[in-house]
Amino acid sequence: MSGATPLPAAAAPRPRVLIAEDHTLVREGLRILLAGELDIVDTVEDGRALLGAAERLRPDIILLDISMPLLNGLDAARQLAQVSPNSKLVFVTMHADPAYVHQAFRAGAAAYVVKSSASSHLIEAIQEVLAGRRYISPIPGAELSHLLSGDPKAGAAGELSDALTARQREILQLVAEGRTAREIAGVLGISRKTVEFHKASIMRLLRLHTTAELTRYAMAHGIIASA
Amino acid sequence: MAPRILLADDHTLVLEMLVSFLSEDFSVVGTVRAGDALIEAAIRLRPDLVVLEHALPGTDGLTVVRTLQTKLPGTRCVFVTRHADLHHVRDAFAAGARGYVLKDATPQELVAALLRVSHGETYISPRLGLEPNWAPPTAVTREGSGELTARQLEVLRLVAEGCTGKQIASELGISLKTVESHKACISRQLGLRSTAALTRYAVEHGLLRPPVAPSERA
Repeated sequence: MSGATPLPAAAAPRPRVLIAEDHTLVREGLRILLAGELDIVDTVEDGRALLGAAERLRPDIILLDISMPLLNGLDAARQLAQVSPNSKLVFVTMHADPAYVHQAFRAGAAAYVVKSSASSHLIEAIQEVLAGRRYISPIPGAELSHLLSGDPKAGAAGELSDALTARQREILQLVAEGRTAREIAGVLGISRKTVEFHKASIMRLLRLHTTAELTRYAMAHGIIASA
Repeated sequence: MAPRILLADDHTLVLEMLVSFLSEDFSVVGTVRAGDALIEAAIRLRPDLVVLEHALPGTDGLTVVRTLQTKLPGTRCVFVTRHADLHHVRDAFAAGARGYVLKDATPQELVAALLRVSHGETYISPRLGLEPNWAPPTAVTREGSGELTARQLEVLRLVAEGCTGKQIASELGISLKTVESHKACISRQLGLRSTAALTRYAVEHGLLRPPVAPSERA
């Protein structure tokens, strides 16, 4: 499908890859695209399933989207640093906004590929990451090369939502997805009372009063997708 | 002979995937990344089927479908899209589309859907949860199309701004009961069940602006 140089020869053990992408067509497309050269150990469709699969499989590479149900890719990435610290994270996403690129590298990304680029860029990203380097696919009008060296966590580039803890962001995403307190409790394996306690603290912290306001906050801060 | 198909999506990666899914059962005559290019290529290539997404640079998907309806009545348009709300579905069929496949579909579902449309049927992804007798509006009968009334749009905007039912009632000078009936009607028309989903819809359709865009925080 592309003219890119082939990935490492079959003699070496094939790198193990986990794919997290909520759209089935894209998930299957990535699998077909990469299965020839890489060992696709599993594919998952949301951020929470990603955490479970990563902990179980400890893949060499994780391809992940930013907008995913239950737990977005950026928040998942921060937790992946704990559950599978040696996995290299390759974001594959529609978001070409440089703010997202910054956030991805601060969350521990090794590469960032926008879906508007050709598959040859994704192959290149995987090659670079396997060679221990970082990679960003071309994004028109954005100068991001400084993220390829040095400490991407340094600098004051857009943080998701400094005010909230990881748990609070998780709950905020689920609220903004329209889930009830009971459903959220089920997803996170905590009590409904704890969910309501968290929701109330988020509202107090952000000085917001309604679910609608929480939803808009989540959209504006990249916690759920904003079209 | 395999149906001739023209593919449009602004994401090159997705376009390449569609080609790999479809090239066995269809003759892929072209791939384009923008609305204007799609119209131009369709007129030149006269495909049996056009696959497209709602958001295309230049001319958007709905406008493309309307244009092709008049210029190429023999070409059938199918949305392959990430938009899973009924408003988008209704708009697509009202513009003249013949199929609506979510990007959530499996490659097998996509192939089957496109084959059905090429045989003259219409297709809608089952995950949209439409009743079996749901009739897509056609370009001729726009009745029951997804357009909300001015009053419904006002109610939706106030819901998304975070107003309570009581506040909306007093703001619009109507009863709480009327507000609730509007809200139920909007939810049903858009196929959206929660306040959060209505709020996302309102922001995505520009009824109000999110407080801060992520890019402004960089």
